[in-house]
Amino acid sequence: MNRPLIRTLVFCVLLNIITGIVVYRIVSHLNKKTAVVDVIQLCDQYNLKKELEAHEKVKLEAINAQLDSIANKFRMAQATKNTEEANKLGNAYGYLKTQLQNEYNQGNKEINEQIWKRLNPILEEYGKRHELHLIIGANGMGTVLYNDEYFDITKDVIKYVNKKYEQGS
Amino acid sequence: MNKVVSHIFLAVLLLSITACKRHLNGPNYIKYITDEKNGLNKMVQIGDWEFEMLYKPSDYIMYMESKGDKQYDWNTRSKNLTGTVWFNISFKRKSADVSPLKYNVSSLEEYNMRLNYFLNYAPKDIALLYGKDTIKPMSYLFETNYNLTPQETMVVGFDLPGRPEAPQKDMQLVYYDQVFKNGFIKATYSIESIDKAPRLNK
Repeated sequence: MNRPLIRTLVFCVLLNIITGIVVYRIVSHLNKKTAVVDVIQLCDQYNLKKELEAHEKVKLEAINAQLDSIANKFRMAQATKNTEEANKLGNAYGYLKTQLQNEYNQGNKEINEQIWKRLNPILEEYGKRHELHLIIGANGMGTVLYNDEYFDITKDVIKYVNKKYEQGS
Repeated sequence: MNKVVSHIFLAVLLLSITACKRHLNGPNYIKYITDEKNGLNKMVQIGDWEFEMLYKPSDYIMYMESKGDKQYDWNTRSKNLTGTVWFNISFKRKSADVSPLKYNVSSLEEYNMRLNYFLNYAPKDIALLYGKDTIKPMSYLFETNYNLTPQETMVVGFDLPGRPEAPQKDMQLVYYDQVFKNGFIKATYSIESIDKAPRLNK
């Protein structure tokens, strides 16, 4: 085999490889897609949220029990026309009710912060692993008006985030 | 007939090879246990926090304790550790710029309260799921490093029901981080990973 022929062969092979790489990149880029996740479903079915809410519930129930007890004493004081006692209990009841509301709001805020602190990096990892261009969060507020099942990856994402959470990786 | 015997011999040989646990020398053994890929050391990243949850087989504990001690009584210690499992829960800021105990602390009182929590109350926020059992710690130690390193470690031990020689089921370590508001942090150790771990060449 003469030299020019070898050179042409090598050139052709290299050209083919480069064309192959370019075509592969274009095709894989085209294959990337957009997907939709139902955020409410995702949050509600995220095990961390369920567990944090269960923990929070215990705290709120304790305050609620105190509130019920004061309400009963307040009713008794009213029935026996013990005005001074009724006023005291009325104030305590108001204070505890505000505390319960504050605890509830604070608890909700903290739970939301905690779950999004975990979900954001996992969703990013999921998107990269599945070669997605964009994940849209449908939350019932009108951001996504309609999507068919083709774009809906909610179930798969819920499975993924819960597996990550339980295994600790 | 000869063929049958040779097949049986081969099968027995293969079985004995697979049944025997690999033995590694100290440094390689430690490397294996702490390598995330082997499933015994789990890293959980939450925001700017990093949690490392390490399962420590008895060989790991004994090797660390025996370093430089020629009188170390391996047999007695091994018997003591039978039926128990031990973990390290370490945590630090990703940037490693400040000790977790000092992070966002506004007063000495707050610092002391945090230290007191880790010294005395953290075990109530730690549990081990072993099959269907939820086990609370039987031993706990906060390895305070007097702020010399930006990482803190809790050492926690559990008694396994029936006191088996080694864990027989998947285990899940759960820590509820209320101090830095990271929620529940979990690490699952599969029985395959535990069984696959080599033994220490003593």
